[in-house]
Amino acid sequence: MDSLATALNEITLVLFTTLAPAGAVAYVLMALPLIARGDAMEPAARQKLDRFLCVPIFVAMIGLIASATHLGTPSNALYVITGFGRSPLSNEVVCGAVSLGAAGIFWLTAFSEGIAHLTARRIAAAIISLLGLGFVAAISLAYDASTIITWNTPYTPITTWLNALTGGPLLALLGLRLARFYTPGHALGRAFIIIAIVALMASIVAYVLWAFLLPELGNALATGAEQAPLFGPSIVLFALLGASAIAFGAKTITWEGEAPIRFPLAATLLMLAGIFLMRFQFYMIHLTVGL
Amino acid sequence: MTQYAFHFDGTRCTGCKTCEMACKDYKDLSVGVAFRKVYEVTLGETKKADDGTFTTTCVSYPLSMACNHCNEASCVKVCPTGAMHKDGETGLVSVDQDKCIGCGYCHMACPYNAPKVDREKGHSVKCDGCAERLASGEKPVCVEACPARALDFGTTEEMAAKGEQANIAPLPEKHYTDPNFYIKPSEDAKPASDASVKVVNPLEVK
Repeated sequence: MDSLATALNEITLVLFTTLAPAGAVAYVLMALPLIARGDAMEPAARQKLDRFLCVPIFVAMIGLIASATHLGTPSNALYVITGFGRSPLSNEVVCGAVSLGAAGIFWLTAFSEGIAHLTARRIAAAIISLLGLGFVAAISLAYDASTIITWNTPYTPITTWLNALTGGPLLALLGLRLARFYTPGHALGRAFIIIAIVALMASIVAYVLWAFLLPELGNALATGAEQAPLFGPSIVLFALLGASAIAFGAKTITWEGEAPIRFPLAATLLMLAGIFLMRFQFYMIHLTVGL
Repeated sequence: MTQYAFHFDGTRCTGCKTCEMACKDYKDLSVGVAFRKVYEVTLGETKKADDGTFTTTCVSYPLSMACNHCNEASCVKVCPTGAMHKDGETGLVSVDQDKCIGCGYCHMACPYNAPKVDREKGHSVKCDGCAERLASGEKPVCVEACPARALDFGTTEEMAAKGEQANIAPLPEKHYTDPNFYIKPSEDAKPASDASVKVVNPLEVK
């Protein structure tokens, strides 16, 4: 099947669009206490949180590196900068490189932090968080080509954001657990779970609406529905994986004492697996208005 | 700038694919890469009557097409490095292989299935209108090879005088990319965006 070959050819982009948006949102969520509370936080907890910001950076970085492996001539990659502002793909790559580069440098400085730099760190974390959100926005618009009939719908950017808001909070939950950072009554963790639940439900609705549209989007070779005959069943599997992920996330924040790492880890992996599945379907439905 | 264009005469084309083979030979293209492709377009249906006889409305027509060197080329728009570009003198769209990263977005965005990433070469490849032949006053090799004289190449004004702009199914409406491709359709051909046609040789042309 040609569509399966397309998705397999772009498997590294499937991985990139799964990991990078989730990593960017997880970074924002993990940085929130640092930005909002700053010196009101207990120094040791703040330092741990600061240092474990590497978790979302690492995840997003894996995605970005994976995306580079599908390039035929990576040595020409610097020319991508010349397309910034003109090409949606350039915007995506430049935003990713800038936000992850800045986040990486910021993380390195966490090991030499002095209390005098706290305000600067809060401002820097806020700026990097905004850059991260800009990166997600750039990814969501990278597929905005009027000639690609199955992608040129509002569902493309919407589902990118919803995927980020589903996977991001659970990854942030894992990051908090690794940093052993707790808020009274797991308030932050509860907020993350609520965000993930709402985003998951909205994702399912968006994918179902998209599935209903796919039979109408086609050219002389196929329709979107024919390209991805398992789009519907994939939504069901995505919902099951998402629900399981949230169940593990909920177990993390309701566990008596410190929850085992395996719970937030399972939550993150299951959610990312679900997102990966739908991103694979996304590449399968690719069709232009012509041939 | 003199914008160049292709012309396809559907009333002459027999679907022999000499154009495709001549291009592959001249450009030394490997298996799986073709700059010009001949689409076998069909429509209609065959029905069996109660008395066992068959009636059919099936027709088929060939469509020979390469890159249409569009004025609003989607491949150029999405290219992140500027490797895919329009020549300032001729309006022909070609790939600067020293800039191309081989991301394949041009292939994904083109509604005429023109560019493709050659994995061995590591960059996109496509019809460049035989720019070097044009520079020496010759027409593209596909045009010269056509035994039925169904293809032509010249300025947009010259080609526009011979047919309608890309108005044949299964091509999309011309407003998407403003292609430099002019067509004299055969009697059975349907206009652009007609949803009743199917391409029946997808493995050959994709």
